[in-house]
Amino acid sequence: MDALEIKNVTKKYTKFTLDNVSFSVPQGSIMGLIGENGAGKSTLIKAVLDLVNKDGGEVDIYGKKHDRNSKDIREDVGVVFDTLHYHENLNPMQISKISALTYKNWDEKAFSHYLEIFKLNEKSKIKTLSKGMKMKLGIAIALSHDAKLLILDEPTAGLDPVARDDLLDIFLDFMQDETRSILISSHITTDLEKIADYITFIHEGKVLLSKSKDELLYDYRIVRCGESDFIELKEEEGAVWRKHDYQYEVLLPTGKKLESKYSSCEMERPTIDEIMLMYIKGERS
Amino acid sequence: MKGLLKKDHILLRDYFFLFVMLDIAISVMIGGTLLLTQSEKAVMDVSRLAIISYVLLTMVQSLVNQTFNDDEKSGFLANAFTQPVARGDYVKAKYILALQLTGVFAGIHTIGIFIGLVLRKEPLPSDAMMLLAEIFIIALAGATIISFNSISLFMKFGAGKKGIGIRLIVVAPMIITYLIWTMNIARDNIELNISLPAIVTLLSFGVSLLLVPMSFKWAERREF
Repeated sequence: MDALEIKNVTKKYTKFTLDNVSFSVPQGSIMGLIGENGAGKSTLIKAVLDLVNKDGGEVDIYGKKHDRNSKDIREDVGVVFDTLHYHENLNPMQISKISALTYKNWDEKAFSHYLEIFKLNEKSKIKTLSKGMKMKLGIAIALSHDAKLLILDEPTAGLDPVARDDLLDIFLDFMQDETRSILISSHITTDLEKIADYITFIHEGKVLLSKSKDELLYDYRIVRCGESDFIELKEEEGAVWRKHDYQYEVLLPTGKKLESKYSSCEMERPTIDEIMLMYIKGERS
Repeated sequence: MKGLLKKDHILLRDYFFLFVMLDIAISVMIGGTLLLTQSEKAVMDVSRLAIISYVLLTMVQSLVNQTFNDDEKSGFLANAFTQPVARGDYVKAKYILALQLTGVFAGIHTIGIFIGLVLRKEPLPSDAMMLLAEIFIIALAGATIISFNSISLFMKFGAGKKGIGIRLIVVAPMIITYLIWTMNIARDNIELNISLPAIVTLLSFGVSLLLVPMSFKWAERREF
């Protein structure tokens, strides 16, 4: 069963369109959503959460259609934005009291446990917390009502490497229960390389690819070559290339299979960053 | 919805106690005036105090507006609708908050007036009693209508400059009418003018009633 299924979601703005976006997050997996700034990641997350009026498409969460009146479905969803969207004058203890009246399954003990792990004082007002602490508080809230699906919009943005690593560990810990799933958007692709099972790449409002991370990292190859090899390479299925001063750089989605064919060329496994750059800046036939 | 109300109660707690203290002070003054002014003139004195309580009530209702601004600025609105909270729950919570605030303040006033009237040596003539009741109902209704209109218009236009501007335009006729009324009361000319605020209040009440269902529709269509 898919934890989240996004079907042909479309949202039109004057200067930007989220265009027929479809992909799914299998139960028990982490889906990383990547793309440059303005690619449509946050718009897509808002469309999934029904915070914007979609021009088309549907979103299913655990097999049930999700819209803005699906209160029961949202009991199972924890959301963390890039900043903590609570009033600055509230403290964690007050948020717990509010959340206990909002969520049927609010677990005060679990919340206190997370506050302890994150070294958050329950009486410290939000305005006194650092960015990293605010994000941890947001995650503590999302994890304390027995959510099965976490939707995280740039949760590690603006954090130092230690804080980022702490958060990634928390997400991996959350995934110990195999019924749980995460959709996480980030432009810090190294974070996703650590934790994601699947990657969906959005560019200019369209899904360019949605694949398992292993497929991307083990099947894709980057070839650096001269013009004579390039003429042949660019005809390969799905090839994307960039021309540098004296050489070409070609991304081959089926590169692993082609290693023997182009044994004279320098072939490397690309990072997700490199794949993203090639798709954004490269040319295609 | 309970969570939303709890959040507003927590955030307004400090302002609320300040306003309650002010309201108690005004209610003591009103009750005291009714008790100590042993003539029909007591109603005129109370009317002037009623204007102060109208201003206070309007300020109290501005607390509801304050919660909108805070919700929008902090991003709480978007956050709330990722939780098991329907758009309609949010609007309902704001109406309930407005009514709760009005209820508390009206209650304190009623106690003040009741004590003043009960302890008075000479009972007030029935026409003076009627006038007193009309003044308070109009003041109370006026303040409540202003907050109800604000709730509706916020859902449509948000808490930005445009939203504030439109809210001011809509409530301006009521505020101007009450200002004129205040000036006439000051000239002891209340009998002449009681009909004007009553009509404006009634008209505004009609507009407010129309806006209530619209506020739910606008909330459904809003994007965050």
